[in-house]
Amino acid sequence: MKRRSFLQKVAATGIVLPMALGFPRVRAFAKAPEGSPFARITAANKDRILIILRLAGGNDGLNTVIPYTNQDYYTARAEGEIAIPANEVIKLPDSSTLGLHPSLAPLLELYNEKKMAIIQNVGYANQNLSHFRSTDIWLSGSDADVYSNSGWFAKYLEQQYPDYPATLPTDPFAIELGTYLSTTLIGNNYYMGVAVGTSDFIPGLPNTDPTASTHAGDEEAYVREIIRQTNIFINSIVAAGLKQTTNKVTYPLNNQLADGLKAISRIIAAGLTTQMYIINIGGYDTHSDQLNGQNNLHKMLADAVLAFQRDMEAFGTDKKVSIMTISEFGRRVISNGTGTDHGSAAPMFVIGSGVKGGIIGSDPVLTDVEGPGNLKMKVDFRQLYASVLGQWYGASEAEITPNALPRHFEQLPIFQTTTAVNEFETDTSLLTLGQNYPNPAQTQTTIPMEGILSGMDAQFTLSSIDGREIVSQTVMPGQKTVTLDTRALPIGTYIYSLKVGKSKRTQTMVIER
Amino acid sequence: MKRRNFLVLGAHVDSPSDNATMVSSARRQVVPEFATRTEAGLEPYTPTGANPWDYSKAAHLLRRCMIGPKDSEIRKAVTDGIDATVKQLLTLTPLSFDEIKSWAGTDVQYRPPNNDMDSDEYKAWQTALFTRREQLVKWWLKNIGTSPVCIQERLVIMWHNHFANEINTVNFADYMFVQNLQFHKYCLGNFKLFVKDITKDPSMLIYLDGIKNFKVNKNNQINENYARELQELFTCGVVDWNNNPNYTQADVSEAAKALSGWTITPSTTKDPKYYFGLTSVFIESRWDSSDKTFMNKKGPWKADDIVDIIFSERADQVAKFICTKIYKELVYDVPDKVIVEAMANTLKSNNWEIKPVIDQLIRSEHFFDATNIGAKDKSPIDFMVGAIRTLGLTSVPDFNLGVSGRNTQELMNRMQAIGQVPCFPPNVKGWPGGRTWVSTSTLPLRQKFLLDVLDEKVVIQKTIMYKFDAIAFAKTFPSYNDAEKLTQEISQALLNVAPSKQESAALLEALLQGAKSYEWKIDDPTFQADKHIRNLLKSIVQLAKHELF
Repeated sequence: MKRRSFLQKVAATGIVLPMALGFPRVRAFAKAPEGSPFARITAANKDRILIILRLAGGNDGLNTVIPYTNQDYYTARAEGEIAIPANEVIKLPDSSTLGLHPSLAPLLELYNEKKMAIIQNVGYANQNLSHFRSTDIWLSGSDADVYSNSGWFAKYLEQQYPDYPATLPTDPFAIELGTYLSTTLIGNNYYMGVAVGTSDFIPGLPNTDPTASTHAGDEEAYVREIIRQTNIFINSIVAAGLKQTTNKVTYPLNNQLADGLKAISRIIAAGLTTQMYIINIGGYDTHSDQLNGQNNLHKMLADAVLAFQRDMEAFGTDKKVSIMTISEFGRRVISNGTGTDHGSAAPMFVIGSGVKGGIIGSDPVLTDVEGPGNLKMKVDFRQLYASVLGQWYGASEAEITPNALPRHFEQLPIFQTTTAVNEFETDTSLLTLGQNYPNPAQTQTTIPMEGILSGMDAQFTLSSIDGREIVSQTVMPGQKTVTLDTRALPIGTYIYSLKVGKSKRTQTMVIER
Repeated sequence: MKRRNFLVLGAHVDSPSDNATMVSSARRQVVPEFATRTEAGLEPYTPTGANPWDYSKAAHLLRRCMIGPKDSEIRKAVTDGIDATVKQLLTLTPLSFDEIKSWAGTDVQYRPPNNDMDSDEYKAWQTALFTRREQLVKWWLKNIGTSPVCIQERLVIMWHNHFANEINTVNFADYMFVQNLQFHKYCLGNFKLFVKDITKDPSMLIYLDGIKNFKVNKNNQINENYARELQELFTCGVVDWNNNPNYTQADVSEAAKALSGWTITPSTTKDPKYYFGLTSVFIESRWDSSDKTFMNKKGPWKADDIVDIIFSERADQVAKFICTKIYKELVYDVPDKVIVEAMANTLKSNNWEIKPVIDQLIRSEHFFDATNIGAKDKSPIDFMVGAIRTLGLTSVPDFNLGVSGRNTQELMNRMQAIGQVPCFPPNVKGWPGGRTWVSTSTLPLRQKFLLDVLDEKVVIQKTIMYKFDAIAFAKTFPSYNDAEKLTQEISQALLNVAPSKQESAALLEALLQGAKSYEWKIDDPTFQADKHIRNLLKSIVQLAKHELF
């Protein structure tokens, strides 16, 4: 283990204030286009969750999914004694050439149950070979020659929720375990997720007086926003953790990944509507002592993931949760002695009950190499992201490209497709729209509302008495008020309404001076 | 960078509502790579009547160059003037390593004669290994927390973050200690010589596999780890400012060959079967002697040649890369290109000497421009150790090197949770810093630490830790008998940007807690001024401004 501490537990104790209402807002998902090879899972996927396990340092793919019948593998690696003997490899039943690293044995169960997809030869053109550049490329979803500080999923979210952060949801869109956010969750303008550590302390809300037009003022505004988001989001996360204090299965001990997944399992079971979790695991940069290092890492991963999947199944949340591994690159075909230097393409896993399972892509060809002796990539990593967005989250091509990803990427058959369209049951019986206060209003007024539940697409409208629309705005689930500045409005009577699907509530207000 | 606000119907709206979900103070959270916000350049700042050398400027200089300066030190700097203060900051002071002298600087036992892991001997050796790691970190934190008025601890942390090694990989605190001495030696020294020495530094040879990079006859174990980071992270960077690559994969592979052959010396004073020395040695028979073509130069290069070639062939890129780091460390995390370029010219024209660059920068109009004052996010070291130093906290558990174990790593544990412990950077690139220091994960832990300290809630074995003498602290300020002035003086000692009117009023109220200003009696035991002062500080540390320096 090269890293000190690669993840932190979500606090198990602290201030409680369970949130009755959740997030996210749901868009009306269109049916998959006719003839589309990978029909999106329509309507059912509004609550989908992806957990990204980032194997930091560059995981050696050839010692993860091992081509144990390929003599080239043993030639390239036997000399340095890092080859895994064929008799130790965990053979995959539907392949005559591939098997898992022995420490990944627990994953065979999931593979056999068709809950694990292995995508071969994933990478990108012109692999940079620098950890940090390559990590930036993977986390942002950009091309190798583009320098971007924003990430594919955050850009997708920014487009989905244009009123963020002016309006905050009750639960964060995304959570990264650790002390700060990685690029995947940083958008063009805003942070679209929160970093979560061990704290259960909820700070008070920040001041609202103006900040200076200086660098210092920019930073102060930044810190205030962090304080505000901490106040709201840590509250909901801690509340979820306290709502569900136990797991359904026993997780392995002394396994930091298991500790993290265990906490995530609980807050998912408690109903937290966060759509993505990111966990960073270090130690994969095995220039030396690879056998030992990778052994421990693979064991930790496989033990933790198996327990988590079983836990999800026991909770009944498994169908909406998937895990995807990513790593900035694979490693060189030929060993350097006790380890391997930076390579390029490598296999990635997608695991979960919603996955099709099996191997996607061809076996690596160890003699067909580029640069200093690295496997050629055959699947662009953005094809995984496009599949996640399209099949898992139900995004249309227009929502994926060019906003989240720079151009079109062919999706892969990773997730189960379903033709059944289960229309979301919208319970509007609790929907209420209250009288504004003060009424009559002079400079501003607040309108109370209730019953906007997770999954609802609610619209607030203010119209003049003759029906002209003056304000029209989406209201977030959980939101309980809308405040209007009425100074620019002429005196008179106005109509305001709240609409969810076919249900509509209407009231009138008066503006006076 | 204000966003469209859907509630704005008129031309302008003040945030009308207390409803947290409706009001956003958010400007753009994502920062650009470079930014310019002032025309002020590197010309020396000259105090004038309109722009005097005052508390705010002296505090800025000391806060940026030190970690947690005290009010008394800032006042002294105001009196001394900028020249004398800069001179003092740039004069290195000798380190004391009395508390770790039992092992620091002696040969390293890399394994005990008895290799049975269950033997007492082996266990004792292993315990010593971990105790030393712990002691080194504590020694380092204590150096920072008790540093004189001098720039060295700021720069040592900067260089540790630049040539970032992780003690868990290096394994031996003994070598990280030696590396720490190098950082002190070179913190204002010659950058090119610095790179040459750090290339052969035992910690670095272990951390980036230099000791495993060799070619003996047919046994070819050329390892690219250091060769890549030397270029990518330590000298020129991956690309220049126009995004042109500074080196190729072939340069990495060729440099790796040239860098081969270095290893750690066997002990000359103790049994070399079990002990290493503290230096490194070049063994020609382990070196790949072939001709290498590196950055288009062909020859039988060795380690120093590679450094020389980088500094001659990529001089401009190296200078800009390093000056960007220095700028970010001392001025602001979003550097100003024009200033960095000027710094780079100073570095090159001074033959890679670092001191003239820093001397020029911290005296400049640019450095003292109001836009940069209070613009940096405090690192955990600034936040935690800085507060310990500024507030004069005593009984800091981790400053006690005589004892070991969990209870004595109170500060280290807290610092780990908020993302920074010396000797434990996240990877070879070091801590990303800037806005990553203040997140939804770290902010509550940062605030809670000082709130607990001020409430005397950190208790280990019935003893209060991080003791704070509120009355004594308040009495270090000139106007301790005047509630309003005292509030203002304590605020300026802890905040880099003056509080707003609204904040000032709230702070005075926090001190008075309902009493009238004229009722303020710091020496009257019945008034319980202690509680009032703690309450004021608790309000200050919850301000967004307190996260910045």
